Amino acid sequence: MPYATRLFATAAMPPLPWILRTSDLIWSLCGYGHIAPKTQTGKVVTIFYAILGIPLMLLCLSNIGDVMASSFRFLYWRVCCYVCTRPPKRSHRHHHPSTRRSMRASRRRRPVERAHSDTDFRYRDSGYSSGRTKRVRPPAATLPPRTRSQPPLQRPQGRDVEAGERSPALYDRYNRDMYQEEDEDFPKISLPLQDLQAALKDLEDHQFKLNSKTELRSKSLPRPAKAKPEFGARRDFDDRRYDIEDNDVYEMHDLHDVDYENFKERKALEKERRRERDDYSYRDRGYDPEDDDYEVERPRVRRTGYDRRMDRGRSEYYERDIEDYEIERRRDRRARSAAYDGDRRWGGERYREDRWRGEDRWEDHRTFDERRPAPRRLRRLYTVDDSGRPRNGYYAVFHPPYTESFCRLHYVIVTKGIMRLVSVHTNFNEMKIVVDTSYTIDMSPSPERDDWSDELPPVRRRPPSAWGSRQSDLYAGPVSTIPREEIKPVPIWLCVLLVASYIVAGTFLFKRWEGWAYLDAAYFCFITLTTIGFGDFVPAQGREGESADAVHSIALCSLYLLFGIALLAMSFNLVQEEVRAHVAAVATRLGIIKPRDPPDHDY
Amino acid sequence: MPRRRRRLASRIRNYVRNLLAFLFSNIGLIVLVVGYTVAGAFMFQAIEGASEIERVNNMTLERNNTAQYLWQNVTLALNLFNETALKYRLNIELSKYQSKIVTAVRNGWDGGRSSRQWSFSSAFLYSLTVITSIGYGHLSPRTSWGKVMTIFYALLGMPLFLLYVTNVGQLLARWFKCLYALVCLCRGCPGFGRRRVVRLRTQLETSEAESIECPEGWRHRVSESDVTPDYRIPPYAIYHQRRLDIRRLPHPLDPRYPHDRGWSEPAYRVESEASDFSYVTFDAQTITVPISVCVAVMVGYIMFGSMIFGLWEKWDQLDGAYFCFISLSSIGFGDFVPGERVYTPRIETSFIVCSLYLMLGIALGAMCFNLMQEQVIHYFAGLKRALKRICRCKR
Repeated sequence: MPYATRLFATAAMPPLPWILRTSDLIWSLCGYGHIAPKTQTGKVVTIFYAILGIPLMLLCLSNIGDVMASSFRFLYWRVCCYVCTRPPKRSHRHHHPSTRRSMRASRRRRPVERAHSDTDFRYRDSGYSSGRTKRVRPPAATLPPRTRSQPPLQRPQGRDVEAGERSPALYDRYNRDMYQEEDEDFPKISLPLQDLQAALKDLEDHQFKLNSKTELRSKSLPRPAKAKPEFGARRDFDDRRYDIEDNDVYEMHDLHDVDYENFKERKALEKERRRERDDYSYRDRGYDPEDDDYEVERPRVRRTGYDRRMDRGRSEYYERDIEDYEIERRRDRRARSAAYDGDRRWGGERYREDRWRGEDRWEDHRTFDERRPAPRRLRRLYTVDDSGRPRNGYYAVFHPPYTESFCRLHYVIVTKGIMRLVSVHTNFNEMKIVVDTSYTIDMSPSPERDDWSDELPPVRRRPPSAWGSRQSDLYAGPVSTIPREEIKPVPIWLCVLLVASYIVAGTFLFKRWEGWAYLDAAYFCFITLTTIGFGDFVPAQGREGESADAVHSIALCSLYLLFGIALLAMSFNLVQEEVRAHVAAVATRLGIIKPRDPPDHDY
Repeated sequence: MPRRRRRLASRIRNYVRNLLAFLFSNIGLIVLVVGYTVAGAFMFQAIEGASEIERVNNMTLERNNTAQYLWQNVTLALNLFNETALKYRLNIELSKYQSKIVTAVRNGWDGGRSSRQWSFSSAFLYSLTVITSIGYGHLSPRTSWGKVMTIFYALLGMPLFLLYVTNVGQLLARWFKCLYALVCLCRGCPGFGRRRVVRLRTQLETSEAESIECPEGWRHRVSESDVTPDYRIPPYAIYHQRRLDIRRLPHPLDPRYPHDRGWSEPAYRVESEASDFSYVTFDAQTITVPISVCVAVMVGYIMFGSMIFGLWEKWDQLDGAYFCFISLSSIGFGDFVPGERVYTPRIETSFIVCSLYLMLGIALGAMCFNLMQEQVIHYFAGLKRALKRICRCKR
């Protein structure tokens, strides 16, 4: 059933071109209008024949085009990219082709550093963070790392859009609020998820500034040159990929960097603000006293009970944090509990006990890797409900460390309907969050996807390090439950070149077969393949219909036509997304359409 | 004054941008397509018209030459009463002339029955058939410049026309949905929202199997507050009602819809000032139009066209319907082309009427295609749900 639906959807996506193309096939097989039905019955039969035949040919051609497109894409990446990229070595990440490509680029860009405040890390790591973010503290996305004296820079508006505006962020929040009550009993993993999510959002908000033509584009990879707004479904092959060395890795601040001197001050300030906020029953206005200016534009929405409860929870972190900021110990315990009882819930008594008598294990992180067996299965923190709408949340999986002081964790984070794989590497002094962009599933409602079909978006698997992909091959680990087949682009010029060379070849062939002039033969090929088909040039026109010569030339012409139309379908299939994105980008730049609207003109 | 100039430049840029935006809007696209076709008509008329006049003159010259030749070389040279010899010579000459005529006709000479084949309106129809890829073939370029220009014209024009078809098709689909909702489904009628809410509630209660995840609290509430005007529809109902767009619903934190709903009170309350439309807002875009209606629209359009062409071109009903179908499905045999049988001064208008009919008809076809696609996808989703429920498949 999904196959049929998909078939129909794919076939019906470009409505008219397919009709034209298929009707051309029928029509061209019928023969250019020099043979047309003369009798009444013939006309009626022709009509019904076309009614049946056009959708049939539509399906057939779209499938042929699909198959040819995928095989051509495969071929292209196999042949062409083997020349320009070496196979990536799995052990050594500096020899990854994407890295080399970016090394080749003249300018290198600094990695975006998530200016990460210490409190975020510490407090959210406290084991009581329930995993659902009420309000992600937005990262200040500055290119140089923020020092404490500087005010936070421009704040991405993603999560705190004006209420009432329909936006993905709002949808996100809406969804989150709707399902917030249900999984109280799921384990409360206390890794800095807020940071992860904020980093992801930072990625999303600022990626268009980070990618320029010279930096990210290799010669073989066609990338849109300009910043592209988000249109429709998110694609993997647009500029949403990052070099692993530059943009993929978010360096957290060192944990040693935390200043505990200001803590009392901040706590006092926080208390005062909370009191004030509660008095006026506004929303939380100053969670972090460092970020003063971002509260200004925020719409003042009445706080719901849920928000207040969340704030209470957060305030507890402040009070608690003196005795439990030992990250090593906590992570150790977390890993052990994941190892020993992967399915056990964590909020129980044993956890608290561990927390309170944790000081004696302060030093033993040297050996904890021995206690850690094979990676566990994905731990469900939030459920993906059956309605096909992704819930925001994260899944986590733990891995054994490869060195004794190094730990890695995998998360699958759903934000704004986009599922991502995030790996967290830590050696307990610093943290790296690697967003593995090749494992990205877009589950957000998009204009392409119909809202009525209740099937989940297709989740396809792909071997983690394929040719030309820019993912990190650091961790082609066992987490491969969520990858999706990455659509690798084939450049537009290649498709155009293919079609043009096909027409040129047809010119020579028809000149030889039919004895037409070059211009006439090229004209014939073009008119035929674009399904216009005037009928002023018809193969085997002057000859007897039954003669072997005529049959021969008609057969050759039919073969040429069939293959040519399939080729056109293929190249249409290949360049469609790209062209649509280009046109949308151009239109946006011209101001014809507003960004983030669905493109109102596309082919 | 550089500052002023900059302002002027920005203003000009703004104007250009607005112009472009207008051109790529719905109305502008129609204007753009018509303008492109008109430009193509002028271009092809200029290119092909000259050679056509030359060709016509050539044929008159040829005819005169043949008559002259017959007079001089047959009548004067032969004995007029030698029947076999005369027939033999005349046969030879006439077959030569016949082959000349055949080549001339194949090159586009129509025997001089219409004064000019590449008139403006027929060139207009020609360029329309190029960009719609109908391609009747009643006219085709004879000069090499015409062929080259046809290629480039089609390269630019076909995407433009596709754009037009997509946009206008969507626009028409939207309008048609509104119309259908108002006329056939009576969506705008008073009391509809109330009835719909009641229906929704009963539907919700019957579908208990799907609502496992719901907490216990609100289900009682819903069944208690039965006929209260303040509709308390749980949020999950929104999910069960598939045709409602979720993003149109007010956000729970939206300040325009004030409520202090924590999750202790899960009922979804909407402000009750709107009397009947409180919960279910009338949105015509959420309905689907059945396939039969779309098919009926297309058949009606073809019937209308056959009637028009029957009046205009003196075709009978079947021929007219056949012509309309072949044209609208862009097959375009070219065995029936308007303005071929009746040689009247109305030919020009006939071409124009045919062009307008085609442009509207193709957009209408795209509209029906849109609507049918939605409906079919909807059917498939429902079928899949039913199958799942039958097979008790959890996935």
